[in-house]
Amino acid sequence: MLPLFVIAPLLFGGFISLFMRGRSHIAGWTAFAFSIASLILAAYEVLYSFGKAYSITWFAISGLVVHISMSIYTLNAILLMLVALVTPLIMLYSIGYMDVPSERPRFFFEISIFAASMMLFAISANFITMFIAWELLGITSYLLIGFWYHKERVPYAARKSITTILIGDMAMLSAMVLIWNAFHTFNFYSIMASPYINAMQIPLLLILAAVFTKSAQFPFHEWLADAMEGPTPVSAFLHSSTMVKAGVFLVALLLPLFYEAHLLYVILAFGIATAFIGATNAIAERHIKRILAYSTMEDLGIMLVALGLHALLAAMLFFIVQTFYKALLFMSAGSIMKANDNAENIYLIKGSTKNRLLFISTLFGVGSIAGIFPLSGFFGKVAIDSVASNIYVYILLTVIEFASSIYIFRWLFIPMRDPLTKGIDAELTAKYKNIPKTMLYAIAVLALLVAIGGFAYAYLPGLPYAGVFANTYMPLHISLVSGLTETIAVLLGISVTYYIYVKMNLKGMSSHRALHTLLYNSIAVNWVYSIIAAAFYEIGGIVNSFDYALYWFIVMGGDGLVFIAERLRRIVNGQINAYAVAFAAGIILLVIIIAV
Amino acid sequence: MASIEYFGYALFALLALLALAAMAAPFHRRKKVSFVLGAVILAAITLTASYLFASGSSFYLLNIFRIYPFSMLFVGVFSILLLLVMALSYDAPGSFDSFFMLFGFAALGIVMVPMASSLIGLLLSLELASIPTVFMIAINGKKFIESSVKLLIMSGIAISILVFGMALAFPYDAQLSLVQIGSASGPIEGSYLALLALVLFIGGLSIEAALFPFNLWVPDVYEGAPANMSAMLSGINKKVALVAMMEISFAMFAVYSSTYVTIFMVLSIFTMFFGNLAAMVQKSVKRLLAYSSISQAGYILVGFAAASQYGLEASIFQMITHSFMIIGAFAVIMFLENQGIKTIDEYRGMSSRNRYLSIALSLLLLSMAGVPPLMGFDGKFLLFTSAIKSDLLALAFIAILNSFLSIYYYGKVIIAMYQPKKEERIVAPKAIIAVISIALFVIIIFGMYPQPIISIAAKAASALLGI
Amino acid sequence: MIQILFISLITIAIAIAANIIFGRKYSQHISIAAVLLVLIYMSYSISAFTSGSLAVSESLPYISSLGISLHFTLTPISIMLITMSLIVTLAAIVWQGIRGANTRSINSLLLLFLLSAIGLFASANLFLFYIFWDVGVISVFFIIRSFGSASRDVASKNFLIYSIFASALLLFAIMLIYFYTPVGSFNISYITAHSYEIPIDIQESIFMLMFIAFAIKMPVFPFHSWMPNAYSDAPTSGSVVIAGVLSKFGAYGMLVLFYLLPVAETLKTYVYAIAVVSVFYSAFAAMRQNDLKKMAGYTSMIESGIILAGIASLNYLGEYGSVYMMLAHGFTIALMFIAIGSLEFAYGTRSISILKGAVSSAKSASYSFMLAIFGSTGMPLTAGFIAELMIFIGTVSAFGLYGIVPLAGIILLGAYMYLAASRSIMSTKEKLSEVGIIGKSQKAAMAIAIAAVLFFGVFPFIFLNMVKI
Repeated sequence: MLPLFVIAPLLFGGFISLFMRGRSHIAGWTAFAFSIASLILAAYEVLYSFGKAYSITWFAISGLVVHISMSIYTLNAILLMLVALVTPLIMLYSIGYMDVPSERPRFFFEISIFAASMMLFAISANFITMFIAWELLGITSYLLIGFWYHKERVPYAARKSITTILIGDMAMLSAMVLIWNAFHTFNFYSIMASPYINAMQIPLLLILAAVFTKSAQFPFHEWLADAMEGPTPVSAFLHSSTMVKAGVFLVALLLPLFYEAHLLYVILAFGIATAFIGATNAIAERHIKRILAYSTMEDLGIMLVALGLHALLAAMLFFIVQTFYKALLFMSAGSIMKANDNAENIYLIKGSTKNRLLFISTLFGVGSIAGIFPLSGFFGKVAIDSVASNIYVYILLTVIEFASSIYIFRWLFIPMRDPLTKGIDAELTAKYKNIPKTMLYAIAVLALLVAIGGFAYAYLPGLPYAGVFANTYMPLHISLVSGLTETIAVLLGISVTYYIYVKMNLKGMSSHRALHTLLYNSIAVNWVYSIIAAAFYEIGGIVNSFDYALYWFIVMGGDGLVFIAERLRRIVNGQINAYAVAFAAGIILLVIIIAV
Repeated sequence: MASIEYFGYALFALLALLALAAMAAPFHRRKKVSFVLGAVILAAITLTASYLFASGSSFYLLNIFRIYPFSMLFVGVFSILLLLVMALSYDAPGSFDSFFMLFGFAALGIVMVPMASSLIGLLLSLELASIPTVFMIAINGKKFIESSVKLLIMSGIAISILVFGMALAFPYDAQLSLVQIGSASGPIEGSYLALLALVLFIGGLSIEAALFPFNLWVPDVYEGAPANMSAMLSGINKKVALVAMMEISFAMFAVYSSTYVTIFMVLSIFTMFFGNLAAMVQKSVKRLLAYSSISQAGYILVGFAAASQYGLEASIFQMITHSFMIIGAFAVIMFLENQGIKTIDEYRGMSSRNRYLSIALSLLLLSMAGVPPLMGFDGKFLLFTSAIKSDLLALAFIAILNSFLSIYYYGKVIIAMYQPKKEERIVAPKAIIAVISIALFVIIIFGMYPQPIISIAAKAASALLGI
Repeated sequence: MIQILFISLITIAIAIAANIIFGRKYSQHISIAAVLLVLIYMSYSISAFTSGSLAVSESLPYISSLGISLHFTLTPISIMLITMSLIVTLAAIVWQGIRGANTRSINSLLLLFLLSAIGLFASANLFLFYIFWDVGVISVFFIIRSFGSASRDVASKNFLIYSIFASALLLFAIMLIYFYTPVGSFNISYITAHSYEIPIDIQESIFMLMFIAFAIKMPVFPFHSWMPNAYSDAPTSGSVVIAGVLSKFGAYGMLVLFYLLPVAETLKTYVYAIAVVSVFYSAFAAMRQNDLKKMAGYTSMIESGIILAGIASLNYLGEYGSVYMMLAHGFTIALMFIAIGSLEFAYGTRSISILKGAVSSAKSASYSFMLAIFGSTGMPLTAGFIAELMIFIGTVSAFGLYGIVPLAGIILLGAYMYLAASRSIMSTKEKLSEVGIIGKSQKAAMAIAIAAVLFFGVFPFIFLNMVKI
């Protein structure tokens, strides 16, 4: 079966739910049912077409033959299954979450298309297919982030994300064009199999730029935090298996190329910088979802670090486990917010322990993100620590792990506090009890996945990896030393957090101005962005006044001509004697002509 | 051959008949009779001329008329144009009887110019063509006296210069016949006198042909005269002068072609620029058309300057084209003038007042501007290519530039007509509609399919050049 | 062998006549029927061309003394562009609505313009090319002049000045070519075969003249000053055809020019530089526009720059890429102008700073506008992507790394258009009240344009299969 059919149910379901304006209450269930169908098809595909590649010709002209190519190799299968698994859960969660009936059809349509594009991305085997999915992801994410367009900051957030993504799209298109001219093929595996060409560095750097925009890496990372303006299921989806993962996945897929072009250190450097920025911002942030967003940046940075260390398996392990816990945490955050009347500041959010199922599931997620044994996050993080041969990288990773345990437990502890007033407390309890069941089921399933995700550690090395350099990848292993170091860092983080935020009950870092600025550097980045935008705007102004001058130049030219014409017209003054003079002058002129 | 000559005599007889009809008009004072008589005679002249043209024969008739395709083409064309002008004048305010008498004589002169076989004949027929027009303007009323006097004075100057030129040419050819004079073959050494004669001929004819700087009277007179007379002056009399200029230059002074090519080039450039630039700032539509008609003469001279079979062909084509365009346009203007609509401002909203007239005038003006697929474009295209063919790249470029400059003022009129302004509808008389329709028909049909006119023009041009 | 082109031209001519006679009541019906009919001919010709059973050359004698005949050839390029013109004009006509204002005159002009477009894209000699060029320009002039907005006076004047200047240069260049080819000829294929015999300096002059003429129409910096006002002051259906079809006159002419004269090979680098400058210039100029239509105008100038870049690369991919871009841009910009026109219809303004939250009540127009933005940034599955891919492969193989520079212009373009969209479409600080409700016919026009944008983006092979290189 052609893998393209995997996305068919999702597309179909999306369009059906779009036209369910009259019956919006079942739109969500429809989309859910079709996403289950997609999951079944994906599973079938992975089981029966594993290791196969497919290609159909899209169009061909003058040597340019463009195929729609798909493959179900190991990496494709991993991402495909992740997306296919998470999509129904997101749909399920959204059924409870989306309480505005009139907007439901649009929401489920957009999210179905979003999921379908990510699935297409997962199975793509050439740049064209990948790029189609890549851009569709960008566009649908724009629509989803801008979903509540009437909220104040939403248009800004949506625009920021699409603008950043557009830069990446154009970089990717440039890279594709350059690669075609170098190899005359778009197929990933043909390119990796061809002998390496020196000119590849520039297209690969362009691809990296695109990856950085999509995966929110420094210096293109700021859109991710703003993207929290979108509905929570979207955030959960965007940060776990789709969109931001696309960039990392592409690097993983093309890792042999980066290796040959000696660009791994670039990936490593940007990855570690981003991870650091993400972790520090998360410590200082107060918005319940933005903390998680910065955490995602950090996670993605660490994945790139692993890839930069040429440890594909470690990166993929982290890739898998991060999907589950990040989806889980976002869903928890959404549920908590729903119970708190959509309050966003963690200091205003109360009583997260009131719903036991929700709280326990959340604990799984928090434990996993911090990296507590034996939750899946531990395996992911320690596997990367274990391959960090460079001592500085190792130390930085450990520091980041320490920081991440601080911010995530701060995220956990502060909303745990109960409201002071009895009446409000009872009200809140009722609200927590009223969280729709579908949301909780989705969270519970994810908690289960988080708990068992660590088993991937056992399975990953046994899978076949496409690409000629498969044997040079760093092997996947967990060293005891790394495990211990990590555990110590995490425990230290927990105790520090507990001391600061629970014992001392500090309001946050706001009293320490300098420290806050250092940690919360997102403002500075935004400032740089705005300077660049202002510079372009100024250039626009100059060009525009030039344009206006050019326009007036033309108009003035016309006026000048009219002025000459006016002078000329005055010759004809109605005096017959003047005409006779002109006549004589004419004759003289003609005589001069014949004389010369 | 003999039967062809009978047709020549028939033509001669028709001309005599025309003169008789003209003289009879003031006596019987029957508008309709004069009109029908004139129309029939002119139509008969056209038919006879076209038969003679088609036969391609070339002979002298009584030693004063030369019958050959060139002359026959213009006899035919001029009689059609005269017919149109007569139809226009039928409802004019002045007395049609006296008009018709003068018109008949003018027509006689006009038709005889292309046929004249000697300088004397040419001069006399030019005289006959131009003097009656002075009175045709004057009979319309007191306010037309000024322009008729101006025309009279300028015609007087023209004639005297022409006569002087004739005197200078006399030593070279005592017969004063319009056949080629040899270079310095006469009793006088050198060719200075001949060249001077050429200059005087061109200068004298330039007055009627409205070439800069001999044309300053044109705007005053065209604007001051009634529109039907403006149509006649620019549509016919100007072409008559150009025909005479062609005959004198290309038949008589052919050996001096290198000299008159320069003269024509200079005159052409001056005339085009003068006409187009001055037209840009005009407010009265009639005056604007006067300037436009000047610039058109400039374009026609481009073909003269090319001085080749192809160039003359193009000039002849454009002369025919312009006559129809300008008569059509003046027909519209004549009607509107009678309604008191004169300036561009007053033309606003014309499309809602009379849709047909505004479409017609737009098309006529676009044709003058040289917009395909109208006849004006074909003419200009031929002219400009002929200049390039004769290696006059600069002239061609200037001409093209001018041609597009002109769209500005034509556009101004057209734009004004299509501006929204609600006023009561106006209805045009049938005669005017008929004239406009004929002009429109010609410029559209032969614009889209110009080949017949090109062939005719080519035949006439080769006859003139004796190829 | 059916002579499709003559039939098409005659169909349109009959439609114009019918429109003038019966237009008071049935103008829309007649015009739409005629365009659809020709569209059917064209779809037949696509299939016939692919299978090789089409009369590719149609000729009738015209002006024999100059060796001019009514000679048309149907190439894949002309079929693509004619189809595009038909669809764009169809959308423009449909947008006006069945009921309501009297559309007789504007439909006659639109059909006349369509006639000229069909003739121009298929003409096999430069004389016909010039004639159809001028007919198109004049009909558009009257569209702006008679049906434009309040400030149309200046706009139409500027349009006219630039257009006639372009026409003058073009005419002169055509005459030069005619004179300098060994046997004076207007026939494009003959000139292409013999143009190497033209002396190099004459070739350069001809190239310059024609380049400026076509650059004005495309428009390309620095010959674009007529564009912003003409686009913004034309009526919506006028803007649609000006940006969608008329600008392709210039682009198509440029394409013909580059393959006409061998001197193009040496000049292509300069042309490419102009194209790049034009892309960035218009991207920056767009940033300060407050009028959505003017913004769309500068957008279309960016695309024109990209088309020029593709043509300047002088290889098959660049060539067909730019043709596909002409097609794609025709649909995209038509969609954009239709969307803007509908927004204006709904809210009575098209100022970015005044429009707020349009998506809440003018959904169809807002989403169309967004799709137009996606299309013009080259989203896959819109026709623009196919075109950009081909063009930039072409430019890279011709100019190396410099070939990707124009893509940065698209970033600027997109950045500003998303800004405009977030301000006018999404934000709801103070919602504007509606003055009109977008009707069925306007939605139908949007649907036509959207369908075209997506259809030719998903099924590019329909056209590209015709090309056999």
